[in-house]
Amino acid sequence: MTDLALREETLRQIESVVGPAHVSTRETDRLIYSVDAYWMPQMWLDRGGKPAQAAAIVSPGSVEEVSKLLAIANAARVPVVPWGGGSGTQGGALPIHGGVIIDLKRLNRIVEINENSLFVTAQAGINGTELEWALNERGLTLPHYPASANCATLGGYLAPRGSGTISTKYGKAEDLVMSLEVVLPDGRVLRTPSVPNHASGPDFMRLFLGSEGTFGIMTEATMRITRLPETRLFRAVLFKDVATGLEAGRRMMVDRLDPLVIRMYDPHSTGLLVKRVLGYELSGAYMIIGFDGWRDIAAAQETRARAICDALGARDLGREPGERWWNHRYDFYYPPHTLHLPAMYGTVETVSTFDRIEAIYHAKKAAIVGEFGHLGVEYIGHFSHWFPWGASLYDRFLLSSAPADPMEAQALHDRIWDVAVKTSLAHGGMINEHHGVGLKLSRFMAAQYGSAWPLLEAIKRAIDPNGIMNPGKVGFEAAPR
Amino acid sequence: MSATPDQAAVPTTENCRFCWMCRHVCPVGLVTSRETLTPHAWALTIESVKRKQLTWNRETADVMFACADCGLCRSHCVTDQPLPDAIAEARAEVVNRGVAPEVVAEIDRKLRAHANPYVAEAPAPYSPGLKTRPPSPRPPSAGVALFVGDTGHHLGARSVDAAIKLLRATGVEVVPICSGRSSGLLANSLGLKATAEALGRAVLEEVEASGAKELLVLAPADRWTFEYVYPQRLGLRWPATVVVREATEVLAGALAEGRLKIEPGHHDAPYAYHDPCHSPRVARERPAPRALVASVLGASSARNLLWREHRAHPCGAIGGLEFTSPAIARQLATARLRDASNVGARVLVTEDPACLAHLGGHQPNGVTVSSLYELLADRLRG
Repeated sequence: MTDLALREETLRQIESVVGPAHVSTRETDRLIYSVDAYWMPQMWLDRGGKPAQAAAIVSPGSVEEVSKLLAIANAARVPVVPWGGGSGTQGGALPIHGGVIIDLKRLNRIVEINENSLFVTAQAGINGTELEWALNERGLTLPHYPASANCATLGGYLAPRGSGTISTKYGKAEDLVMSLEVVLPDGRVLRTPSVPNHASGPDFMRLFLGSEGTFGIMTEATMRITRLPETRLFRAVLFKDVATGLEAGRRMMVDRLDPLVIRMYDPHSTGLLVKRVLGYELSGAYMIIGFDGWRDIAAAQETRARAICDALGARDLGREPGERWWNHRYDFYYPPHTLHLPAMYGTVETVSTFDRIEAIYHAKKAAIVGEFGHLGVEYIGHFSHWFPWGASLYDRFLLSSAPADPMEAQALHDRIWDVAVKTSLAHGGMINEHHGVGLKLSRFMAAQYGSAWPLLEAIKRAIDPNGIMNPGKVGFEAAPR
Repeated sequence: MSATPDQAAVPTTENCRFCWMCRHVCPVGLVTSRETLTPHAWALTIESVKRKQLTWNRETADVMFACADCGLCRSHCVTDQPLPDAIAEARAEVVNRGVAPEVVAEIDRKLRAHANPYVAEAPAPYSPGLKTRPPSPRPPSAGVALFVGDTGHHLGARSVDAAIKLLRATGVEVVPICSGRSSGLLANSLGLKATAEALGRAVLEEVEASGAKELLVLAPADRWTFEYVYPQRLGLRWPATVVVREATEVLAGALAEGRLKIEPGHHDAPYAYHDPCHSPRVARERPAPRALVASVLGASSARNLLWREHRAHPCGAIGGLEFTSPAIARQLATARLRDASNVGARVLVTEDPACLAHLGGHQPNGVTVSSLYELLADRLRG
């Protein structure tokens, strides 16, 4: 990994656009922006190493400034890495080829809250919770509740196609988008049609969702919002095993009970995380089910869900363990509860159809524990984002004492990832459901897409012929300079 | 699974360096939009110095002195990581290494010489009416003292007078103490540990000499200083016989009981209440000051700021930012006034003399800043 020194002339051009106060080449800034929520750069920093750094960090204050910056970078062939909250876990915001980081957090305005048609238009750099609190003041909500809401930006919600806690009812972040404003690598600014559902040609908006800054920079988004519900009902049930719980969830989904959340921890997670964070000592698969909306309708939906669980022999734990989970659902991500150094860990999550997802769980568990169990690697998982056709498996590997040598640690980490992702693919799973691709999964994109991958590469070349946008991410290599 | 090592042995900066979960409440991070000025980055800077990836120099010192020491990161951390304390410690190290911003040494000299950073004037007995009238006679055994401090004395004398008048109207005769004397909070925030301790000891001596069993404070900053900073950061013991209360709690209680009678004003301009700096980190009665404002300006004209109560953002008169990072202090003040403007408020009311002075210097958007104590004293019945 190398720094790419900016030519003095390019730096002056950039400063002339945003002002010198919004361009930094300071040592501290360059170090802070060299790490996101991915284990890899954190491990290197922890062990005294130096992850790749950007030559400069630039903070534009308007879409016009973003446009001018990209035009300058494109002309000078300077890599550009968009930065939102820096909370991504896939290394998507790491400046692995140097260049400039464009921090979008100054683009933090709410442009419009439309209470008639229920949408909000906001700039991409606004903090997720700040946006949510502003909506809550009016009795509204953006129903995308990721664990990263406190740190992520609106653009960060969309760039990797994130999912939130209540995606089972309201959809993933991408499903909530009505339109986008995007700056292309050459500086052109485009806005997608004002509504997402139409028959006026191909839906090119979706091209940018999941592109993680490799096709351009999202600067503004219009999102569907909804009224805060009259009620939210939660309860917990305990299944004897994963298979029975999965069947219960499947029935709830195919029967269209419209649950807000179904989250089922596998027995290992139940015994570890649920016990540690929520304080319940249980044996089996702990499932939270939730419904929201009008009180009578939510109650009726819950009644039907309980009947499904009862029929499958689940033990009803009542409302309190469900509500406790809801109120503490993000506690899992605070230190010391969250996974952190010096341990080695990775969330190798995937998604597939109901007929495959259980097999994927067992196969990944067998592969990871089988190959790395002797080193102390453990495997846990839960099923957290459900669709009418399937569910996501949010599974993780853990190793409490990683090798001391960073190169060795990195190599082992990558080997475990290889096994996990290849097992997902071999059993019909996707390489990822909601964290995105970033740097971490870049090497699996060709295998994921097979014969379609060259088409994606061609699209990348058409949009970004000089390869300046977030090189090395989402499978797109840096263009030769 | 032992992926989580024994946390008792893990310093808070190690826990916080790669945790982003309080980013949403950090006022400095939000107004500067700079990743390096957020809680995780302050922790990572400290840890990077420990690992010799960075050194303490003017650049890293400027980063550390940009924290507001407002405590929002900690009060919103579900595992209560004391990051503000770690930052204060790091600042002390920066001061000891002689690389703190130059203004810090200047403030240190002023605090040591005059016990305040504002004027070359030593603490003096309280004298109402901006020192134009003779001091009121000191009640022989009032039992209740009022901490005036340096901000009250030098920045908010009218608020102090008004608070004393209001308390007297409720039957509470207070002994004003520590007029012109800093509590030591500013020194502590700036990493001036020895100065902070000296100021703290002087305050404790005055408190004990007053014979008071109850010490009223004008704003949450003083309460937090006495309840937390003294014992936890400075190792000073607060006298167990002296209870600290906010004056607004006493007044709100009197208002509810009918012992404080306020003539409602004839205002119809929408207003908002600014929870003073440090509010979120003390267990205060949040409705108390709001009830007091409503008694004058009416409940129907009240507007809620987005950044209020448990998530109240500071106005900039905090953590020494006015001295070390004046641009950020200005940005915070502007953000608070914009917050008021966004909800349609034309008047922003608060009680902390430091907030009033700071916000009063930044009123570009048509929002007027008003003193809670003065508003009430002007409408006192009888």
